[in-house]
Amino acid sequence: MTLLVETSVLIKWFHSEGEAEVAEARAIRDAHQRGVLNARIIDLALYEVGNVLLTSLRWTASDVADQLDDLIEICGVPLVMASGWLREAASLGSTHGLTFYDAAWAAAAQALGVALVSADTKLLAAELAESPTATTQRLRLQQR
Amino acid sequence: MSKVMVSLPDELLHRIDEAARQRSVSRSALIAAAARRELARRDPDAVAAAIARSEKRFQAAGGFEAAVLVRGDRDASPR
Repeated sequence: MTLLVETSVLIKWFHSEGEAEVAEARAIRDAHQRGVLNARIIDLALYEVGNVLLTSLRWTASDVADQLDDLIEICGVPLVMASGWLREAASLGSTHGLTFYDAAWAAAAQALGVALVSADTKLLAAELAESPTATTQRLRLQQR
Repeated sequence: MSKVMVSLPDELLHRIDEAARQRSVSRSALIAAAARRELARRDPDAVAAAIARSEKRFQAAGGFEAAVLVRGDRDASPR
């Protein structure tokens, strides 16, 4: 079972204060760690996490780089958007009024034939992703 | 392509053959796919260490909702 895990959920894997659905996000992380499921990311995740850490949270360059290294250690080398995926992303973005960033996540998940797990309200409203709560319930993942 | 002889429990072999039949692939292809998946698994100790380091880094990050920050980042990107 493979899942595509979007940036907002990836951050919840490590950050708790002020976050919703932390237990559910961590249940997905724990299942990935145990090998029960395979959580994948696309390369956009590195740019989005990096941008949040650098510009919103104002982490040091060293900490940002270390965090991205750890993300790759945890999830493996990110998937790269293929040309067909980019075309589908453009179509999804246009259809649903999403940014290309949002649409790229959805297009990648559709191309892979896997669920996209996201806490993003726009992706969820467009029914292009499922929430961590929905994922943990569907897969009956144990929460701590 | 090398041919190898492996020993498997009868019950496991039965399940492999049943799964291969359902997926319309050969027994060898199914076993090869399973082996590739296993080999692709992350080193559990390395993953656990990376998670621990990540949690430690985020401890001092303060309170926020990740989805809000990511949304703000996407919407604020130059158009």
